[in-house]
Amino acid sequence: MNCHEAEHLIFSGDDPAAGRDRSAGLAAHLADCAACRSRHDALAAALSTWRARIRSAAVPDSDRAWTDLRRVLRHGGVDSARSARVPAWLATPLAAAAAFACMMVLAPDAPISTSSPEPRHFARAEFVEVPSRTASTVVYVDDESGWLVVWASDTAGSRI
Amino acid sequence: MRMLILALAVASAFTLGGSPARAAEGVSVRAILISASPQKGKSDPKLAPFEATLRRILRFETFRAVGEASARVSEGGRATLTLAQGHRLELSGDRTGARETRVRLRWRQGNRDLMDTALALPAGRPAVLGGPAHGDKGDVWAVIIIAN
Repeated sequence: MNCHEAEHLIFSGDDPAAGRDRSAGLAAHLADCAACRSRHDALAAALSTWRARIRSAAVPDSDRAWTDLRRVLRHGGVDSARSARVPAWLATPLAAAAAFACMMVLAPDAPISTSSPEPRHFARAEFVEVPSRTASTVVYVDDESGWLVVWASDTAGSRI
Repeated sequence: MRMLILALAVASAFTLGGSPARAAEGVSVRAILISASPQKGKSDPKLAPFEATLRRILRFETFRAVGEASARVSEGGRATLTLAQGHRLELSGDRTGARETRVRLRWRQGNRDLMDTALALPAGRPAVLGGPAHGDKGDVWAVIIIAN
């Protein structure tokens, strides 16, 4: 089995139509080919993460949502008009926060952390192009390290 | 109250858009060209800080630093990082801010294009590009890119 056939099977997932022989062939190919193994593992990790997120997604309680909506409709726009005003006691802290934000941005010598970025602020690739038509591209962010990986390998097993 | 809203708007604009001073001076982009091999062995000590992550995410066994370069890239500016073995990265800064740097990047070896991409890089968070094979033992080229 070559890389091109292996890639087809990898992206087919657990397709029963692939047959037992081809699955065994894929397993043998993955044992020998680091690039395909990396692609297979990246896809498996992405699928696993997606499934975990789907499983843990909170489904809203429809009865409670209807109750809340009725309450909002019953009270009309009174609550929203009130909430648009900033209480006097909150004005001073907000102004201080705004001034602090301005100072942090405008002060040229202010220390800016470069070694520990925000935990959820990941790198991303906006597009990737490789010259070879047979090259396949994988882009993902490693959950553990936060590294962005942009990998393009030629399915014919040669150079891009 | 109007002054408060104005102050908040100004603060938000600067915070979301990045510092004008930082955009003008640019950010430092560092690139390390590495050769990744499926053969077992000892990796280059220069890559010690990255080795565990590289091995885990790329599934190669050994890594060798082949070349390194860095340059400052400003918004709208261009820079070329000349690495080794004919590899070079042509960078153009799309946007540079305190939180992240957006660069257009073309990776070439000699006259050959290897990859054309646009990356948004948070400060200090590496990205690794790779895949082009070389030699006959399954080795591939990769580039670690870090913006600071």
